[in-house]
Amino acid sequence: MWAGSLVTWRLLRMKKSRHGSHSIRRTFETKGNNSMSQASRTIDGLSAQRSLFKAVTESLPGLLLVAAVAVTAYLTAPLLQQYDFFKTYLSIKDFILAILVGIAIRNTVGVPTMLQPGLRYSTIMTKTGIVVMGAKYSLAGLLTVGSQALVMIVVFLFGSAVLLMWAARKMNMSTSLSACIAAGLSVCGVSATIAVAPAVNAKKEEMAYSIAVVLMFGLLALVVFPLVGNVFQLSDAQYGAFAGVGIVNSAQVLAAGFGYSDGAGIIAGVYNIGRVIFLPFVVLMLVIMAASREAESVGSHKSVNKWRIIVDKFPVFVLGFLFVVCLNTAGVLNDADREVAKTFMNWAFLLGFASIGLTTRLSDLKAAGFSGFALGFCIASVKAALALLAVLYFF
Amino acid sequence: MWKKIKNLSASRKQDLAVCILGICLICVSKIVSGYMV
Repeated sequence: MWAGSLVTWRLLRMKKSRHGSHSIRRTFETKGNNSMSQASRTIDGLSAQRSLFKAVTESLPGLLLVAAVAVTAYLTAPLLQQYDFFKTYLSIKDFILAILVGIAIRNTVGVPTMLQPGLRYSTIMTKTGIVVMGAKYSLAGLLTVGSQALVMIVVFLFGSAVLLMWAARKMNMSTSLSACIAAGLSVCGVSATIAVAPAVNAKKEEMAYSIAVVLMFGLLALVVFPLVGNVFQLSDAQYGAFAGVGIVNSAQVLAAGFGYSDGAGIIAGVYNIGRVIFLPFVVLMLVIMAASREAESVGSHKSVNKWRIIVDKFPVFVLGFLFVVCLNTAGVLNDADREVAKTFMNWAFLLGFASIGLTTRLSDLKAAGFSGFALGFCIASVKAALALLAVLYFF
Repeated sequence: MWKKIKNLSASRKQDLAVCILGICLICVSKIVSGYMV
């Protein structure tokens, strides 16, 4: 995981360091001296190394906290299952516990500023887990589950986005806010909101608002969904589809899925990937809807570069997942390899979920206000209820 | 190639890093399981 953090850090940092030493490089190069430009490249390298060292030392304390929460959840979850209450009513596995422990720490004792830099790797860890999860699928299996998932995803994903935009219009919510919430509650929470926000000129508060709605609903779903699954005695396939459609945040989908059973987690993973693949198309739809709504009110016409949006918003990490699926299908991985890969996947998720918990602030509930929350929760609940009905009748 | 990568957006770089890391972990799985057998 550390190696991953370093690689990602280096890639992200490259842009900053490039800008930082750009003027020095330009001065050297205008003299047309090759040795000088070599010297500038050396300066680039040195400054990048120094920044890398600084970022590592800055992130280390926070990463240790994330690891401590993950290990605590991993060791505590089996102990809880010894009690009848948890065994019968509230089956909490380590993934869900990691999020809950993280949230408890964040919202009670708080997280000191010096630990904050180490908490920003949650997305990287979760996405890495998804890429490694590819070792559990074959192309044939993916197509079988995927074709069934595709219908559910298309109906629920585009349906909820259109419904939310329509309801938001009736409630006189701003176009940008309604597009952010629609993206967040239909595709994959945080990433979708971030993807759609610049395209609809959303303010920072509107982004934070819709992210809060998505995360809070997912948080509630983490506890409620396994209970619903137990009450209706859903099979792994049914529960995986229910969680994959009903919950939108990738980490929460996987936590709720694997929290029910390994099989359900795998199915939920397919639904999650399917939803993520549709991200650019939903963003495109919302941007067109928002643009036409703006055009109606202002009376001007705003053109949208459709192909650019699809290319820009396509989630590249899905290709990594598909590559690993292909490796598995080609027989490159055997049972022992898959077992070790599963351990890596579990820890990547566990660390990612602990990190997400440690960055979730319940005070965002207050900041978000009521109308957006009410609308978001209503639509998300209706979507979850319809998803439950669909899996009960069609699976 | 390297110049192209450097010009990618931050989210693209993150996705790329995730892909590399994930595939590295799969390779490590293969090596570790080889030693375990």
